[in-house]
Amino acid sequence: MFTYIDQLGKFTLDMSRSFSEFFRFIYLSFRCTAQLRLSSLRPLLFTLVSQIYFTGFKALPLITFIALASGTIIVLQSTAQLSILGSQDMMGNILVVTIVRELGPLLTALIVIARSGSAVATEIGSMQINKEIEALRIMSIDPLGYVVFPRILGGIISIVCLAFYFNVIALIGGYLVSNLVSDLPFSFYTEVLAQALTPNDLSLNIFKNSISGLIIFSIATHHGMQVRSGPQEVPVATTNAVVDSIMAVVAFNLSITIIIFTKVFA
Amino acid sequence: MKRVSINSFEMKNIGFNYGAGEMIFTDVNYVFNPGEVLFIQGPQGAGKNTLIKLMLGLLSPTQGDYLVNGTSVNQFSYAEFDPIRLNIGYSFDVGGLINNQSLYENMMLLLNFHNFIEPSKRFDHIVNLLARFQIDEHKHLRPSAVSSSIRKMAVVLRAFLLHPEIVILDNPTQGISVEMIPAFMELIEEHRQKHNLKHIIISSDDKNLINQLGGRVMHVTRTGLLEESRQ
Repeated sequence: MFTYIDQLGKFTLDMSRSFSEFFRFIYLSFRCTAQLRLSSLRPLLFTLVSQIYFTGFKALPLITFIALASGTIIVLQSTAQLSILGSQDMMGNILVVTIVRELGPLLTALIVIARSGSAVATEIGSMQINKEIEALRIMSIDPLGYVVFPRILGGIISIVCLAFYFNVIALIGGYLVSNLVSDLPFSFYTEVLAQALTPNDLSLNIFKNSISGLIIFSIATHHGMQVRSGPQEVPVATTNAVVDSIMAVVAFNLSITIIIFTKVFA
Repeated sequence: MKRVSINSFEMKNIGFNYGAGEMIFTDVNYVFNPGEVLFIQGPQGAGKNTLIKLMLGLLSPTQGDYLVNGTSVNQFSYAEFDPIRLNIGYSFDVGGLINNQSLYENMMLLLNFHNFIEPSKRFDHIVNLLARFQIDEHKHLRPSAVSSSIRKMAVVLRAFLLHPEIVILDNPTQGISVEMIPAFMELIEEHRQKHNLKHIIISSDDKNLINQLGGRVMHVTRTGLLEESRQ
């Protein structure tokens, strides 16, 4: 009996220690960047731009494909089901709820985890092994400011832009593709969509994606920085970063949905 | 950020261990005299790198006092040690260059981050330094695209970029081509005479280098630093 209680206590302590260390890591990376002189920010800008290029721009083909596919499925299925019920004017609401509020942020986050979260953890892990991080520290360039912060900020900017792009492609592209097999009028489609879409939906979309970006890239950089002794730790860090990011992002999206659902239907 | 000039530099009864493990060394006592060249030697695992990391303020001693300008810096945080660290140039034995940046960008990063040299002079400063070792034609190549000798030389040159008062070089001549050695000696001499280089600490067994530079040879042992003659 005591063994179980001991284990539970140890688990709780370990978890709280890990969480506090993780939040301290994020705080220090932001604080260290805020304390830099303006001229020292120039080298960070290069890292920030390349992070946006690799995470945002390079992900466009994959995002386009997934957005088109999911948009087509949702438009086709909702058209079919709603015409049976005779309530096609509800279509806009269904599209906004599924694509803009739920599926867009979640799918974008999962794609970014697979493409960039894993890459960032691997890259930083390799930088540790090649003594690049140590070299920065010796040159009085804090890696939390030069390596970690631009990747987190670049990740957040990229994921917000990608999610917006996902919504546009899923909604418009989904209609165009599904129009090949159904005869839904475009004017009707845009009208129900415009009626359903509110500024709150867009705000929620941006909020969800910003926090997802923060979660993904904080976890990825943190795991990368944990690599210490050898190259065998790099794939472990990458796997842990991907698994932890998926769990955290899904839990976050689920929590927000539950909060909004209970607020709306309370 | 301003640099702190390092007038005195001393280790008093320094001991260190990682975590709860056994002490790697104890009772390291040394007063670094200005103008002196110190060679550090010792077998693998003796603690040479640990001693260097202590000097760089990346580790805090488990026991004893590390004094810079008479003040104990044992409890200094990483950021608090920065003004001192900016006056220490360090070159790695292996690695240490940012792999996704060219040799030129690697060196420019240091100059851009710390505003000690005017922006208009930075390009010439780097290119002239590389040209002395005839590696300027490789400046736009990444570390993986050049030979290990050029990589090593670039790391050594980076240690001198900000004209530090202390340089700590880890095996600087191992793996560099023989033609570069005279230019390397000239570089050290020039920095001693013109740029106020006060302390040269080299981890190396290279007898030619020891003969050419002179200085004291100390061995890192579990019970402190022992001078070569006492071994």
